[in-house]
Amino acid sequence: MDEMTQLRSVVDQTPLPTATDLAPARARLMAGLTAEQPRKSRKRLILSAATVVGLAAAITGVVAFGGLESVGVAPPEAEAAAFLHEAADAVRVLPATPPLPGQFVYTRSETTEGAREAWHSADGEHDGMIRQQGQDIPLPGCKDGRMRVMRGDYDMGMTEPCDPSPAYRRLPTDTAGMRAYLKGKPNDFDILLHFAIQERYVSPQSMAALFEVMADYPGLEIVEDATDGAGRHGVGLTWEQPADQQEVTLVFDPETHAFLGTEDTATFEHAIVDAVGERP
Amino acid sequence: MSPPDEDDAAIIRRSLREPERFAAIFDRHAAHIMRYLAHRLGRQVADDLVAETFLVAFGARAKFDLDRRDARPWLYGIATNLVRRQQREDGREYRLRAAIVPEPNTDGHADRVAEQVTAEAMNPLLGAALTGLSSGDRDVLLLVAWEGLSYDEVAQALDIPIGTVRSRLSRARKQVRAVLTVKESVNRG
Repeated sequence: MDEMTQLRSVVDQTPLPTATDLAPARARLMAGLTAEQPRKSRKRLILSAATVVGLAAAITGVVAFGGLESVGVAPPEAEAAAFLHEAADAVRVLPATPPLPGQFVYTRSETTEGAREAWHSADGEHDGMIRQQGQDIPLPGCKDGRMRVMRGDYDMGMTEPCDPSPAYRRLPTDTAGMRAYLKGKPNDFDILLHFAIQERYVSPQSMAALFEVMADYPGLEIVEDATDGAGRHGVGLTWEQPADQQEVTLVFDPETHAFLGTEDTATFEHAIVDAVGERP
Repeated sequence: MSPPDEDDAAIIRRSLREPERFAAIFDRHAAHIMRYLAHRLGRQVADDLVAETFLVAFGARAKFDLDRRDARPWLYGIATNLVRRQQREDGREYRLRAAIVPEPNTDGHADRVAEQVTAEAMNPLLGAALTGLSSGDRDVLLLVAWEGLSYDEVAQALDIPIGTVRSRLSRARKQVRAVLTVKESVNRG
């Protein structure tokens, strides 16, 4: 019996809950529906007294190096927004180096699953690869609407329909354009994560626009003494995230404002290369 | 009531103006979501989190992508996030080992009981294998193996690229297989 069958058998032998089993949950939901007011779903970070003190200290730290006008009691949201505006200013002036269609976006990073290297096809049509834990995992490109079917690293010898997922898309470079662009998407946070953080190429100007849009996110706050997935200390930013998304804290270098990673990832190298397996 | 042939997206769209319509989403999917939660965290927590899952979904329904007709991946994604939150909040890594043992059958059907014994003998081992996985790998593996979600649906549920689903599944299967194989050969030898 293989592992999938064994796992499946756990489910097969458990009867589905009946309507009676589900009645209390249904009653709770119905109460929520008729209350009209969709309840606030996610428990926010629970800040202990000590954390609050630390938070204040962190904010003061930002104010000190950021040279902001307001000192001391500005609300956390304003401080966090100000930090993002600075991050935007810092990245905006960097030169753009967009990849050509046949090139690859190379990323070397640390994740919860260890060191990782990724080569993503710029246009999504070429075969890419992820190298992690001693394994080379192919990422079949999507050409003319078809891609090879892989099960792990095993080629099934057939193709399936697909939508290309390019590592580089032209994104708006101004704040208003970016805001409009994100508005058309089901979930702006999703887009932000996929394009800006996860092994994609976003031009510095578009990245700046993303930061500017993010500065308006509700519930934005600075996380005291944040560390990224490699333990590097920086300024953490979090915001009110929809409960159906993974919570995330973005960690920035306090000096350069460069994006370091999230609380469980760290990006070390991000570059354009000509071929899979090639390093910058 | 909603017509039975109405897809999830249509119900969710209506529920934006008529919230009580959302009950139909619960009636369609709650049993599977609850069983999933019970397998992951045990029956007691599942009772609580199944309501939570649908309340969260209700609160976020305006963000549901109406091009997706089936709400299952979305609901599994929310449930999975709640599982993780629960595990974090309780300050325990996971309760898989305990949770994976199914509830005792109450209908007393004979061959079910016989199966139960085998499953109980088998489950601690599987539980141990699962505990060894990273949480991202485990989520993918369980959504595929237990819940029968397609790669694409898992990608939607966990909000990760489909390539990541593939790589996580492949790694998780390898790891679980390794644990099971070692044990088997120990038992034989």
